Amino acid sequence: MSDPTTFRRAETVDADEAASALRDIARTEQRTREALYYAGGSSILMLWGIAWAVGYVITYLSPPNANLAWTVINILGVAATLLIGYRGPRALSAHWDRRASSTFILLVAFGAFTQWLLGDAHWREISLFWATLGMGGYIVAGLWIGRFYILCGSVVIALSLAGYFWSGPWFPLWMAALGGGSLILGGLWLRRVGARG
Amino acid sequence: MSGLNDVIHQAMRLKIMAALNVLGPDSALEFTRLKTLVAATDGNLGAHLDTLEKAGYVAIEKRFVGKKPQTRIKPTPSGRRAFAEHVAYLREILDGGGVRA
Repeated sequence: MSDPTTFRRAETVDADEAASALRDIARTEQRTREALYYAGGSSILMLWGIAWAVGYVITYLSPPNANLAWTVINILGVAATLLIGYRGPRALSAHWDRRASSTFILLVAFGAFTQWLLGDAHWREISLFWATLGMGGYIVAGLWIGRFYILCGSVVIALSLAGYFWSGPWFPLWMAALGGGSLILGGLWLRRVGARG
Repeated sequence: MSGLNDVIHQAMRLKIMAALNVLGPDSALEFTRLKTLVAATDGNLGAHLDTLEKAGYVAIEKRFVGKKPQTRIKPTPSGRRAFAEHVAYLREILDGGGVRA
């Protein structure tokens, strides 16, 4: 076959060249998977950024309605996350399996159970618990699917802790703006660098 | 035993096929995104895609999203098969530790 882009026609391949080619393949596959996960994960990140912003603004403006608001927001958020995983970009859904859904559901169930155990704990502690649990999940996921999730989870945990200790009565607005805002910005960045399949 | 596939073995085309092979069924990658993933230039990637398309290993689809032209590339079933066979061939060389034609 005439091929103007082939400068050296490979006729024999030795073990070193084969090993180098296999390393190239592994690197490219890893980079591609990361890009696909980033694009798929961007919608989920933005979804929870908006959910946090809405939830914390309601918490600030109308504390008596906060529990009901968060219950509704969490149920809708979990359902939307599972839907995006299954019906989102085809390349992502090809990798979104039962283990991913089960891990997510177990994490939420653990959080709900712990919140029930804590019962009368102050809402600030409950808020910090959910933030660190959710972002801890991102950090763990990042170990498998891409370093950006580790960065994003760490930043939001740091911001949540800073808000918990130093924002005083502005804590809900701090979490809405900086926690929710970071997730939305993270989602936008992932959309830019990710690859839709 | 698998054999050397000259079309796929070229370094850039190997990376292109590796990237496309990760996609789910009926999925495709945009030209610009593929370019970033394999670290190629426009011209370089275009030339290699031509070669892969002529060999029947990739399908190239041009379309408009709004007023913006978009080129999407997806692997064909024979492209996936050829890539899998080539990877098996490379692994055989490592396992055997020899030089193969």
